[in-house]
Amino acid sequence: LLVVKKSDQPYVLEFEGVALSHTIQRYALVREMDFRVAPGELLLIRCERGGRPSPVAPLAQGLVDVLRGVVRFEGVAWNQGGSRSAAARRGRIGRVFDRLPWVSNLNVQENVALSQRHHTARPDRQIVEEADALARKVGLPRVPRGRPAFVPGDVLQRAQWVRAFLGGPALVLLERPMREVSLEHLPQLLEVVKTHRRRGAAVVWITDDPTIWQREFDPLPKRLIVKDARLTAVEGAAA
Amino acid sequence: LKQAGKGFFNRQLAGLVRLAGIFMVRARGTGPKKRTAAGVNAPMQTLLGRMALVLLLPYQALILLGGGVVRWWERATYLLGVVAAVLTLAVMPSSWPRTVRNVFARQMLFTGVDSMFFTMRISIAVGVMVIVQAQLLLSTIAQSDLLGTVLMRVIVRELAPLLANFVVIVRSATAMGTEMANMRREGEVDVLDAQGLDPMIYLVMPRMLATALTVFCLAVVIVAVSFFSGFLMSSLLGAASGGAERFVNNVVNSAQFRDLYFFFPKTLVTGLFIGAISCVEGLSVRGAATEIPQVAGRSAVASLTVVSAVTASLSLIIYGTILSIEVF
Repeated sequence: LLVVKKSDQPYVLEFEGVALSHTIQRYALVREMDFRVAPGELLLIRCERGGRPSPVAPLAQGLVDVLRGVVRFEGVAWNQGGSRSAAARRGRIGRVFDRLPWVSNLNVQENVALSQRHHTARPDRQIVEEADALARKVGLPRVPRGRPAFVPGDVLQRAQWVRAFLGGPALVLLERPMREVSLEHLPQLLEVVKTHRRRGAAVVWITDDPTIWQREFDPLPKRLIVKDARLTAVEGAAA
Repeated sequence: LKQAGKGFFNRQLAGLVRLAGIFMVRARGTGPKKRTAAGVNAPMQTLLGRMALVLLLPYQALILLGGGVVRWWERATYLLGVVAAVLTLAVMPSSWPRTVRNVFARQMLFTGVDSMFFTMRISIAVGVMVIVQAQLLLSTIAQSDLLGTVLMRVIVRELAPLLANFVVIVRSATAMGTEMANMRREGEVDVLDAQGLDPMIYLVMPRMLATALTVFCLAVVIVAVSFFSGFLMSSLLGAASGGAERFVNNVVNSAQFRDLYFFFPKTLVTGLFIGAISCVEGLSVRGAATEIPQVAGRSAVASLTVVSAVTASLSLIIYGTILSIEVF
Protein backbone atom coordinates (compact mmCIF):
# COMPACT_ATOMS: atom_id res chain seq x y z
CA LEU A 1 0.00 0.00 0.00
CA LEU A 2 2.83 2.35 0.85
CA VAL A 3 4.22 3.89 -2.29
CA VAL A 4 6.25 7.07 -2.06
CA LYS A 5 6.18 9.03 -5.30
CA LYS A 6 9.81 9.95 -5.88
CA SER A 7 10.43 13.55 -6.77
CA ASP A 8 12.04 14.34 -10.15
CA GLN A 9 13.92 17.20 -8.52
CA PRO A 10 17.38 16.68 -7.03
CA TYR A 11 16.17 18.28 -3.81
CA VAL A 12 12.82 17.94 -2.11
CA LEU A 13 13.31 20.98 0.08
CA GLU A 14 15.59 23.97 -0.41
CA PHE A 15 16.13 26.95 1.90
CA GLU A 16 18.18 29.58 0.10
CA GLY A 17 19.35 32.51 2.24
CA VAL A 18 16.09 32.50 4.16
CA ALA A 19 15.56 35.00 6.95
CA LEU A 20 12.46 35.21 9.09
CA SER A 21 11.03 38.64 9.68
CA HIS A 22 11.52 39.84 13.26
CA THR A 23 7.90 41.00 13.23
CA ILE A 24 6.73 37.36 13.27
CA GLN A 25 6.91 36.69 17.00
CA ARG A 26 5.23 33.29 17.07
CA TYR A 27 8.46 31.56 16.13
CA ALA A 28 12.08 31.66 17.28
CA LEU A 29 13.98 34.25 15.27
CA VAL A 30 16.33 32.67 12.73
CA ARG A 31 18.09 35.12 10.41
CA GLU A 32 20.02 32.77 8.19
CA MET A 33 18.76 29.44 6.88
CA ASP A 34 20.59 27.77 4.02
CA PHE A 35 20.18 24.06 3.42
CA ARG A 36 18.90 21.44 1.02
CA VAL A 37 17.31 18.07 1.61
CA ALA A 38 17.43 15.42 -1.11
CA PRO A 39 15.01 12.51 -1.48
CA GLY A 40 15.78 9.83 1.10
CA GLU A 41 17.80 12.22 3.27
CA LEU A 42 17.29 12.94 6.96
CA LEU A 43 18.04 16.41 8.27
CA LEU A 44 18.31 16.74 12.02
CA ILE A 45 17.86 20.25 13.42
CA ARG A 46 18.55 21.04 17.04
CA CYS A 47 16.68 23.99 18.46
CA GLU A 48 16.80 25.63 21.87
CA ARG A 49 14.95 23.89 24.65
CA GLY A 50 12.01 25.82 26.11
CA GLY A 51 12.21 28.61 23.54
CA ARG A 52 9.69 29.64 20.96
CA PRO A 53 8.85 27.02 18.29
CA SER A 54 11.18 26.61 15.34
CA PRO A 55 10.02 28.34 12.13
CA VAL A 56 11.53 25.66 9.87
CA ALA A 57 8.38 23.54 9.45
CA PRO A 58 5.96 26.42 8.70
CA LEU A 59 8.54 27.93 6.35
CA ALA A 60 9.04 24.59 4.63
CA GLN A 61 5.28 24.48 4.01
CA GLY A 62 5.12 28.06 2.75
CA LEU A 63 2.88 29.11 5.63
CA VAL A 64 5.07 31.99 6.81
CA ASP A 65 6.34 34.85 4.67
CA VAL A 66 10.07 35.24 4.53
CA LEU A 67 11.92 38.51 4.96
CA ARG A 68 14.42 37.50 2.28
CA GLY A 69 15.51 34.35 0.49
CA VAL A 70 13.43 31.62 -1.04
CA VAL A 71 12.00 28.28 0.09
CA ARG A 72 11.43 25.65 -2.60
CA PHE A 73 9.50 22.42 -2.30
CA GLU A 74 10.12 19.97 -5.14
CA GLY A 75 11.89 22.72 -7.06
CA VAL A 76 9.03 25.25 -6.91
CA ALA A 77 9.18 28.31 -4.67
CA TRP A 78 6.19 28.77 -2.38
CA ASN A 79 5.61 32.28 -3.67
CA GLN A 80 5.11 30.92 -7.20
CA GLY A 81 1.69 29.73 -8.34
CA GLY A 82 -1.66 30.35 -6.70
CA SER A 83 -3.06 29.33 -3.36
CA ARG A 84 -4.78 26.26 -4.82
CA SER A 85 -1.55 24.86 -6.20
CA ALA A 86 0.17 25.59 -2.88
CA ALA A 87 -2.59 23.75 -1.01
CA ALA A 88 -2.25 20.75 -3.33
CA ARG A 89 1.55 20.68 -2.79
CA ARG A 90 1.07 20.84 0.98
CA GLY A 91 -0.93 17.65 0.62
CA ARG A 92 2.39 15.93 -0.25
CA ILE A 93 3.98 16.96 3.03
CA GLY A 94 3.45 15.04 6.27
CA ARG A 95 4.01 16.84 9.54
CA VAL A 96 4.12 16.12 13.25
CA PHE A 97 3.05 19.42 14.75
CA ASP A 98 4.77 20.87 17.76
CA ARG A 99 1.50 21.77 19.45
CA LEU A 100 -2.29 21.85 19.03
CA PRO A 101 -2.33 19.48 16.08
CA TRP A 102 -5.95 18.28 16.00
CA VAL A 103 -9.26 19.50 14.65
CA SER A 104 -11.44 19.10 17.72
CA ASN A 105 -14.75 18.38 15.98
CA LEU A 106 -13.32 15.34 14.18
CA ASN A 107 -12.25 12.12 15.86
CA VAL A 108 -8.61 11.05 15.75
CA GLN A 109 -9.13 8.64 12.87
CA GLU A 110 -10.91 11.32 10.82
CA ASN A 111 -8.09 13.72 11.64
CA VAL A 112 -5.46 11.21 10.58
CA ALA A 113 -7.20 10.45 7.27
CA LEU A 114 -8.25 14.04 6.54
CA SER A 115 -5.43 15.06 4.22
CA GLN A 116 -5.56 11.82 2.22
CA ARG A 117 -9.33 12.02 1.91
CA HIS A 118 -9.07 15.62 0.75
CA HIS A 119 -6.21 15.33 -1.72
CA THR A 120 -6.58 11.84 -3.13
CA ALA A 121 -9.31 9.66 -4.56
CA ARG A 122 -8.16 6.59 -2.62
CA PRO A 123 -11.07 4.61 -1.15
CA ASP A 124 -11.71 5.34 2.53
CA ARG A 125 -11.20 1.69 3.45
CA GLN A 126 -7.75 1.67 1.91
CA ILE A 127 -6.74 4.80 3.82
CA VAL A 128 -8.03 3.38 7.10
CA GLU A 129 -6.23 0.07 6.52
CA GLU A 130 -2.96 1.85 5.80
CA ALA A 131 -3.39 4.06 8.87
CA ASP A 132 -4.11 1.07 11.11
CA ALA A 133 -1.11 -0.80 9.69
CA LEU A 134 1.12 2.21 10.43
CA ALA A 135 -0.42 2.49 13.90
CA ARG A 136 0.56 -1.11 14.65
CA LYS A 137 4.13 -0.29 13.59
CA VAL A 138 4.32 2.46 16.23
CA GLY A 139 2.83 0.30 18.98
CA LEU A 140 -0.85 1.19 18.77
CA PRO A 141 -3.48 -1.51 18.18
CA ARG A 142 -5.10 0.82 15.62
CA VAL A 143 -5.74 4.53 15.11
CA PRO A 144 -7.97 5.72 17.99
CA ARG A 145 -11.59 6.42 17.10
CA GLY A 146 -12.30 8.86 19.95
CA ARG A 147 -12.21 12.64 19.94
CA PRO A 148 -8.71 14.05 20.54
CA ALA A 149 -9.80 15.54 23.88
CA PHE A 150 -10.47 12.04 25.25
CA VAL A 151 -7.34 10.27 24.02
CA PRO A 152 -4.14 10.14 26.17
CA GLY A 153 -1.29 12.43 25.10
CA ASP A 154 1.26 9.72 24.19
CA VAL A 155 -1.32 7.86 22.05
CA LEU A 156 -2.24 11.12 20.32
CA GLN A 157 1.40 11.87 19.61
CA ARG A 158 1.91 8.46 18.02
CA ALA A 159 -1.29 8.99 16.03
CA GLN A 160 0.43 12.16 14.76
CA TRP A 161 3.32 9.99 13.52
CA VAL A 162 0.78 7.89 11.63
CA ARG A 163 -0.78 10.97 10.08
CA ALA A 164 2.61 12.36 9.05
CA PHE A 165 3.65 9.20 7.20
CA LEU A 166 0.22 8.24 5.83
CA GLY A 167 0.01 8.14 2.03
CA GLY A 168 3.77 8.20 1.48
CA PRO A 169 4.52 11.93 1.52
CA ALA A 170 7.49 13.35 -0.37
CA LEU A 171 8.59 15.32 2.70
CA VAL A 172 8.00 14.60 6.38
CA LEU A 173 8.47 17.34 8.97
CA LEU A 174 8.84 16.04 12.50
CA GLU A 175 8.63 18.79 15.10
CA ARG A 176 9.71 17.31 18.44
CA PRO A 177 8.00 13.99 17.63
CA MET A 178 9.03 12.39 20.94
CA ARG A 179 7.19 15.01 23.00
CA GLU A 180 4.98 13.18 25.56
CA VAL A 181 6.14 9.79 24.25
CA SER A 182 8.33 7.39 26.20
CA LEU A 183 11.78 6.74 24.69
CA GLU A 184 10.89 3.06 24.44
CA HIS A 185 8.87 3.97 21.33
CA LEU A 186 11.80 5.74 19.66
CA PRO A 187 13.03 2.62 17.80
CA GLN A 188 9.54 2.22 16.31
CA LEU A 189 9.61 5.78 14.99
CA LEU A 190 13.16 5.34 13.70
CA GLU A 191 12.09 2.20 11.84
CA VAL A 192 9.21 4.03 10.16
CA VAL A 193 11.53 6.92 9.26
CA LYS A 194 14.06 4.49 7.82
CA THR A 195 11.42 2.69 5.74
CA HIS A 196 10.16 5.95 4.27
CA ARG A 197 13.67 7.25 3.59
CA ARG A 198 14.43 4.09 1.65
CA ARG A 199 11.36 4.73 -0.43
CA GLY A 200 12.50 8.26 -1.25
CA ALA A 201 10.90 10.53 1.35
CA ALA A 202 12.97 13.39 2.73
CA VAL A 203 12.68 13.82 6.49
CA VAL A 204 13.36 16.93 8.58
CA TRP A 205 13.49 16.15 12.30
CA ILE A 206 13.47 19.12 14.67
CA THR A 207 14.46 18.31 18.24
CA ASP A 208 15.54 19.97 21.45
CA ASP A 209 16.35 16.63 23.07
CA PRO A 210 20.09 15.82 23.45
CA THR A 211 19.32 12.08 23.58
CA ILE A 212 17.91 12.18 20.08
CA TRP A 213 20.52 14.64 18.81
CA GLN A 214 23.38 12.38 19.88
CA ARG A 215 21.81 9.17 18.67
CA GLU A 216 23.28 7.19 15.80
CA PHE A 217 21.00 7.11 12.76
CA ASP A 218 21.19 4.75 9.85
CA PRO A 219 21.76 6.11 7.20
CA LEU A 220 23.57 9.11 8.72
CA PRO A 221 21.67 12.36 8.77
CA LYS A 222 22.74 15.93 8.02
CA ARG A 223 22.83 17.96 11.22
CA LEU A 224 22.09 21.64 11.74
CA ILE A 225 22.04 23.57 14.98
CA VAL A 226 20.53 26.96 15.76
CA LYS A 227 23.41 29.16 16.91
CA ASP A 228 23.26 32.98 17.18
CA ALA A 229 19.98 32.99 15.24
CA ARG A 230 21.62 31.05 12.38
CA LEU A 231 21.29 27.46 11.27
CA THR A 232 24.84 26.12 11.31
CA ALA A 233 25.97 22.78 9.91
CA VAL A 234 27.49 20.32 12.39
CA GLU A 235 29.83 17.50 11.41
CA GLY A 236 29.52 14.10 13.07
CA ALA A 237 27.02 12.73 15.54
CA ALA A 238 28.20 13.92 18.93
CA ALA A 239 27.84 17.66 18.53
CA LEU B 1 -6.01 53.27 -5.71
CA LYS B 2 -7.79 52.68 -2.41
CA GLN B 3 -4.50 52.71 -0.52
CA ALA B 4 -3.25 55.78 -2.37
CA GLY B 5 -6.53 57.57 -1.67
CA LYS B 6 -6.35 56.64 1.98
CA GLY B 7 -2.76 57.84 2.19
CA PHE B 8 -3.63 61.15 0.60
CA PHE B 9 -6.64 61.57 2.87
CA ASN B 10 -4.60 60.72 5.96
CA ARG B 11 -1.80 63.15 5.04
CA GLN B 12 -4.27 65.98 4.49
CA LEU B 13 -6.05 65.14 7.71
CA ALA B 14 -2.81 64.95 9.67
CA GLY B 15 -1.74 68.33 8.30
CA LEU B 16 -5.02 69.94 9.21
CA VAL B 17 -5.12 68.46 12.69
CA ARG B 18 -1.55 69.61 13.29
CA LEU B 19 -2.38 73.10 12.10
CA ALA B 20 -5.46 73.17 14.30
CA GLY B 21 -3.41 71.94 17.24
CA ILE B 22 -0.86 74.71 16.83
CA PHE B 23 -3.56 77.34 16.61
CA MET B 24 -5.45 75.90 19.57
CA VAL B 25 -2.31 75.96 21.68
CA ARG B 26 -1.79 79.57 20.68
CA ALA B 27 -5.45 80.33 21.43
CA ARG B 28 -5.07 78.99 24.96
CA GLY B 29 -1.86 80.96 25.32
CA THR B 30 0.08 77.95 26.65
CA GLY B 31 2.31 77.36 23.67
CA PRO B 32 6.06 77.75 23.98
CA LYS B 33 7.29 81.20 23.07
CA LYS B 34 9.80 79.92 20.54
CA ARG B 35 6.99 78.58 18.34
CA THR B 36 5.44 82.00 18.00
CA ALA B 37 5.47 82.89 14.36
CA ALA B 38 7.54 85.97 13.71
CA GLY B 39 5.58 89.00 12.62
CA VAL B 40 2.18 87.85 14.00
CA ASN B 41 1.15 89.46 17.23
CA ALA B 42 -0.42 87.54 20.13
CA PRO B 43 -4.05 88.78 19.89
CA MET B 44 -4.02 88.00 16.18
CA GLN B 45 -2.79 84.45 16.90
CA THR B 46 -5.52 83.94 19.51
CA LEU B 47 -8.14 85.10 17.04
CA LEU B 48 -6.76 82.81 14.32
CA GLY B 49 -6.69 79.92 16.76
CA ARG B 50 -10.32 80.41 17.77
CA MET B 51 -11.36 80.75 14.16
CA ALA B 52 -9.54 77.53 13.29
CA LEU B 53 -11.21 75.77 16.19
CA VAL B 54 -14.67 76.89 15.10
CA LEU B 55 -14.00 76.13 11.44
CA LEU B 56 -12.58 72.68 12.14
CA LEU B 57 -15.36 71.48 14.44
CA PRO B 58 -17.76 70.58 11.63
CA TYR B 59 -14.82 69.10 9.76
CA GLN B 60 -13.97 66.88 12.73
CA ALA B 61 -17.62 65.86 13.02
CA LEU B 62 -17.60 64.99 9.34
CA ILE B 63 -14.45 62.93 9.80
CA LEU B 64 -16.06 60.97 12.63
CA LEU B 65 -19.19 60.36 10.58
CA GLY B 66 -17.17 59.63 7.46
CA GLY B 67 -14.93 57.21 9.34
CA GLY B 68 -17.99 55.22 10.41
CA VAL B 69 -19.37 55.19 6.89
CA VAL B 70 -16.01 54.16 5.43
CA ARG B 71 -15.69 51.31 7.98
CA TRP B 72 -19.24 50.17 7.20
CA TRP B 73 -18.57 50.35 3.48
CA GLU B 74 -15.33 48.37 3.80
CA ARG B 75 -17.09 45.71 5.86
CA ALA B 76 -19.97 45.46 3.38
CA THR B 77 -17.64 45.16 0.39
CA TYR B 78 -15.57 42.56 2.25
CA LEU B 79 -18.69 40.49 2.92
CA LEU B 80 -19.75 40.82 -0.71
CA GLY B 81 -16.27 39.70 -1.70
CA VAL B 82 -16.54 36.61 0.50
CA VAL B 83 -19.95 35.76 -0.96
CA ALA B 84 -18.65 36.23 -4.53
CA ALA B 85 -15.57 34.11 -3.80
CA VAL B 86 -17.67 31.32 -2.32
CA LEU B 87 -20.08 31.30 -5.27
CA THR B 88 -17.13 31.18 -7.67
CA LEU B 89 -15.53 28.31 -5.75
CA ALA B 90 -18.83 26.46 -5.46
CA VAL B 91 -19.24 26.02 -9.22
CA MET B 92 -15.80 24.38 -9.54
CA PRO B 93 -16.02 20.58 -9.16
CA SER B 94 -12.46 20.57 -7.76
CA SER B 95 -13.75 22.50 -4.73
CA TRP B 96 -15.89 19.54 -3.72
CA PRO B 97 -13.68 16.71 -2.50
CA ARG B 98 -15.36 14.25 -0.12
CA THR B 99 -14.08 16.10 2.95
CA VAL B 100 -15.89 19.26 1.89
CA ARG B 101 -19.01 17.30 1.01
CA ASN B 102 -18.93 15.82 4.52
CA VAL B 103 -18.71 19.27 6.11
CA PHE B 104 -21.60 20.43 3.94
CA ALA B 105 -23.73 17.42 4.95
CA ARG B 106 -22.93 17.88 8.65
CA GLN B 107 -23.81 21.56 8.46
CA MET B 108 -27.10 20.77 6.74
CA LEU B 109 -27.84 18.26 9.48
CA PHE B 110 -27.02 20.69 12.28
CA THR B 111 -28.55 23.83 10.79
CA GLY B 112 -31.48 22.28 8.95
CA VAL B 113 -32.58 18.91 10.26
CA ASP B 114 -31.89 19.63 13.93
CA SER B 115 -33.90 22.84 13.84
CA MET B 116 -36.87 21.31 12.01
CA PHE B 117 -39.07 20.72 15.08
CA PHE B 118 -38.33 24.16 16.49
CA THR B 119 -39.30 25.67 13.14
CA MET B 120 -42.49 23.61 13.00
CA ARG B 121 -43.56 24.82 16.44
CA ILE B 122 -43.12 28.42 15.36
CA SER B 123 -44.91 27.74 12.08
CA ILE B 124 -47.94 26.35 13.91
CA ALA B 125 -48.15 29.57 15.94
CA VAL B 126 -47.79 31.68 12.80
CA GLY B 127 -50.46 29.68 10.99
CA VAL B 128 -52.89 30.00 13.85
CA MET B 129 -52.31 33.74 14.23
CA VAL B 130 -52.24 34.82 10.60
CA ILE B 131 -54.71 32.46 8.97
CA VAL B 132 -57.35 32.60 11.68
CA GLN B 133 -57.16 36.41 11.75
CA ALA B 134 -57.32 36.59 7.95
CA GLN B 135 -60.25 34.16 7.82
CA LEU B 136 -62.17 36.10 10.44
CA LEU B 137 -61.49 39.46 8.81
CA LEU B 138 -62.24 38.36 5.26
CA SER B 139 -65.43 36.50 6.19
CA THR B 140 -66.62 39.63 8.01
CA ILE B 141 -66.32 41.65 4.81
CA ALA B 142 -67.54 38.73 2.69
CA GLN B 143 -64.25 38.41 0.82
CA SER B 144 -63.26 34.86 1.78
CA ASP B 145 -62.03 34.22 -1.75
CA LEU B 146 -59.18 36.62 -1.13
CA LEU B 147 -57.75 34.38 1.57
CA GLY B 148 -55.31 32.65 -0.75
CA THR B 149 -54.00 35.96 -2.06
CA VAL B 150 -53.55 37.35 1.43
CA LEU B 151 -51.71 34.24 2.59
CA MET B 152 -49.42 34.16 -0.42
CA ARG B 153 -48.55 37.82 0.08
CA VAL B 154 -48.11 37.74 3.83
CA ILE B 155 -46.68 34.31 4.55
CA VAL B 156 -44.94 33.24 1.36
CA ARG B 157 -43.51 36.59 0.33
CA GLU B 158 -42.59 38.08 3.69
CA LEU B 159 -43.14 36.12 6.87
CA ALA B 160 -41.78 32.68 6.01
CA PRO B 161 -38.41 33.89 4.65
CA LEU B 162 -37.98 36.28 7.58
CA LEU B 163 -38.82 33.62 10.18
CA ALA B 164 -36.57 31.05 8.54
CA ASN B 165 -33.72 33.54 8.66
CA PHE B 166 -34.38 34.27 12.33
CA VAL B 167 -34.44 30.58 13.21
CA VAL B 168 -31.11 30.01 11.48
CA ILE B 169 -29.56 33.06 13.15
CA VAL B 170 -30.70 32.00 16.60
CA ARG B 171 -29.73 28.34 16.24
CA SER B 172 -26.73 28.39 13.92
CA ALA B 173 -25.17 31.79 13.28
CA THR B 174 -24.00 32.16 16.86
CA ALA B 175 -22.87 28.53 17.02
CA MET B 176 -20.98 28.81 13.75
CA GLY B 177 -19.30 32.05 14.81
CA THR B 178 -18.21 30.50 18.11
CA GLU B 179 -16.98 27.33 16.42
CA MET B 180 -14.90 29.31 13.92
CA ALA B 181 -13.52 31.54 16.68
CA ASN B 182 -12.52 28.51 18.76
CA MET B 183 -10.88 26.85 15.78
CA ARG B 184 -8.96 30.01 15.03
CA ARG B 185 -7.88 30.50 18.62
CA GLU B 186 -6.80 26.88 19.12
CA GLY B 187 -4.72 26.91 15.93
CA GLU B 188 -6.96 24.38 14.17
CA VAL B 189 -7.25 26.63 11.12
CA ASP B 190 -3.44 26.60 10.84
CA VAL B 191 -3.45 22.81 11.13
CA LEU B 192 -5.90 22.58 8.24
CA ASP B 193 -3.86 25.03 6.19
CA ALA B 194 -0.69 23.05 6.87
CA GLN B 195 -2.36 19.91 5.51
CA GLY B 196 -3.32 21.71 2.33
CA LEU B 197 -6.98 22.19 3.24
CA ASP B 198 -7.80 25.74 2.23
CA PRO B 199 -9.95 27.17 5.07
CA MET B 200 -12.05 29.04 2.51
CA ILE B 201 -12.93 25.76 0.76
CA TYR B 202 -13.07 23.45 3.77
CA LEU B 203 -14.56 25.72 6.43
CA VAL B 204 -16.31 28.70 4.87
CA MET B 205 -17.80 27.51 1.57
CA PRO B 206 -19.77 24.47 2.80
CA ARG B 207 -21.08 26.34 5.83
CA MET B 208 -22.29 29.30 3.79
CA LEU B 209 -23.97 27.14 1.15
CA ALA B 210 -25.53 24.85 3.75
CA THR B 211 -26.89 27.88 5.61
CA ALA B 212 -28.40 29.33 2.42
CA LEU B 213 -30.01 26.03 1.46
CA THR B 214 -31.27 25.50 5.01
CA VAL B 215 -32.96 28.91 5.14
CA PHE B 216 -34.71 28.08 1.88
CA CYS B 217 -35.84 24.64 3.08
CA LEU B 218 -37.01 25.95 6.45
CA ALA B 219 -39.02 28.67 4.72
CA VAL B 220 -40.77 25.97 2.67
CA VAL B 221 -41.49 24.07 5.90
CA ILE B 222 -42.86 27.23 7.52
CA VAL B 223 -45.20 27.84 4.59
CA ALA B 224 -46.49 24.26 4.56
CA VAL B 225 -46.92 23.89 8.32
CA SER B 226 -48.45 27.32 8.88
CA PHE B 227 -50.98 26.80 6.06
CA PHE B 228 -51.94 23.40 7.43
CA SER B 229 -52.13 24.47 11.07
CA GLY B 230 -53.96 27.67 10.20
CA PHE B 231 -56.59 25.86 8.18
CA LEU B 232 -56.97 23.21 10.87
CA MET B 233 -57.42 25.78 13.60
CA SER B 234 -59.87 27.93 11.61
CA SER B 235 -61.90 24.78 10.83
CA LEU B 236 -61.99 23.85 14.48
CA LEU B 237 -63.09 27.37 15.42
CA GLY B 238 -65.62 27.40 12.62
CA ALA B 239 -64.00 30.39 10.92
CA ALA B 240 -63.21 28.53 7.69
CA SER B 241 -65.88 28.88 5.07
CA GLY B 242 -65.95 25.94 2.69
CA GLY B 243 -63.88 22.82 3.16
CA ALA B 244 -60.28 21.85 2.74
CA GLU B 245 -60.75 21.60 -0.99
CA ARG B 246 -61.85 25.23 -1.23
CA PHE B 247 -58.93 26.34 0.93
CA VAL B 248 -56.41 24.45 -1.21
CA ASN B 249 -57.96 25.74 -4.44
CA ASN B 250 -57.94 29.25 -3.06
CA VAL B 251 -54.26 29.07 -2.19
CA VAL B 252 -53.20 27.28 -5.38
CA ASN B 253 -55.16 29.66 -7.63
CA SER B 254 -53.64 32.70 -6.00
CA ALA B 255 -50.08 31.37 -6.31
CA GLN B 256 -48.13 33.16 -9.01
CA PHE B 257 -44.76 32.66 -10.57
CA ARG B 258 -43.68 36.07 -9.32
CA ASP B 259 -43.95 34.83 -5.72
CA LEU B 260 -40.70 33.02 -6.43
CA TYR B 261 -39.05 36.42 -7.08
CA PHE B 262 -39.55 37.09 -3.40
CA PHE B 263 -39.03 33.63 -2.01
CA PHE B 264 -35.71 32.64 -3.57
CA PRO B 265 -33.67 35.79 -2.96
CA LYS B 266 -35.08 36.35 0.51
CA THR B 267 -33.98 32.91 1.60
CA LEU B 268 -30.92 32.01 -0.45
CA VAL B 269 -29.24 35.43 -0.53
CA THR B 270 -29.81 36.20 3.13
CA GLY B 271 -28.73 32.66 4.07
CA LEU B 272 -25.44 33.22 2.25
CA PHE B 273 -24.91 36.44 4.17
CA ILE B 274 -25.68 34.80 7.52
CA GLY B 275 -23.07 32.14 6.79
CA ALA B 276 -20.55 34.70 5.58
CA ILE B 277 -20.98 36.93 8.62
CA SER B 278 -20.63 34.05 11.10
CA CYS B 279 -17.52 32.69 9.42
CA VAL B 280 -15.88 36.09 8.95
CA GLU B 281 -16.60 37.16 12.53
CA GLY B 282 -15.35 33.84 13.90
CA LEU B 283 -12.18 33.77 11.86
CA SER B 284 -11.34 37.37 12.75
CA VAL B 285 -10.53 36.38 16.36
CA ARG B 286 -6.91 37.06 17.18
CA GLY B 287 -6.34 35.04 20.33
CA ALA B 288 -8.07 36.34 23.45
CA ALA B 289 -10.59 33.90 24.96
CA THR B 290 -12.83 36.83 25.88
CA GLU B 291 -13.36 37.53 22.19
CA ILE B 292 -15.27 34.29 21.65
CA PRO B 293 -18.55 35.17 23.42
CA GLN B 294 -18.36 38.57 21.75
CA VAL B 295 -18.17 36.85 18.38
CA ALA B 296 -21.44 35.01 19.06
CA GLY B 297 -23.19 38.28 19.87
CA ARG B 298 -21.65 40.13 16.95
CA SER B 299 -22.58 37.34 14.51
CA ALA B 300 -26.21 37.40 15.62
CA VAL B 301 -26.54 41.19 15.60
CA ALA B 302 -24.78 41.63 12.27
CA SER B 303 -26.81 38.79 10.72
CA LEU B 304 -30.09 40.28 11.94
CA THR B 305 -29.10 43.69 10.57
CA VAL B 306 -28.09 42.28 7.21
CA VAL B 307 -31.19 40.08 6.94
CA SER B 308 -33.44 43.06 7.70
CA ALA B 309 -31.58 45.27 5.26
CA VAL B 310 -31.44 42.68 2.47
CA THR B 311 -35.09 41.67 2.94
CA ALA B 312 -36.27 45.27 2.91
CA SER B 313 -34.06 46.15 -0.06
CA LEU B 314 -35.22 43.12 -2.03
CA SER B 315 -38.85 43.98 -1.29
CA LEU B 316 -38.30 47.53 -2.49
CA ILE B 317 -36.43 46.42 -5.60
CA ILE B 318 -38.93 43.71 -6.51
CA TYR B 319 -42.03 45.80 -5.71
CA GLY B 320 -40.48 48.68 -7.64
CA THR B 321 -39.82 46.47 -10.64
CA ILE B 322 -43.30 45.01 -10.56
CA LEU B 323 -44.92 48.40 -10.03
CA SER B 324 -43.03 49.84 -12.95
CA ILE B 325 -44.35 47.03 -15.17
CA GLU B 326 -47.97 47.06 -14.08
CA VAL B 327 -50.17 48.36 -11.31
CA PHE B 328 -49.66 45.95 -8.45
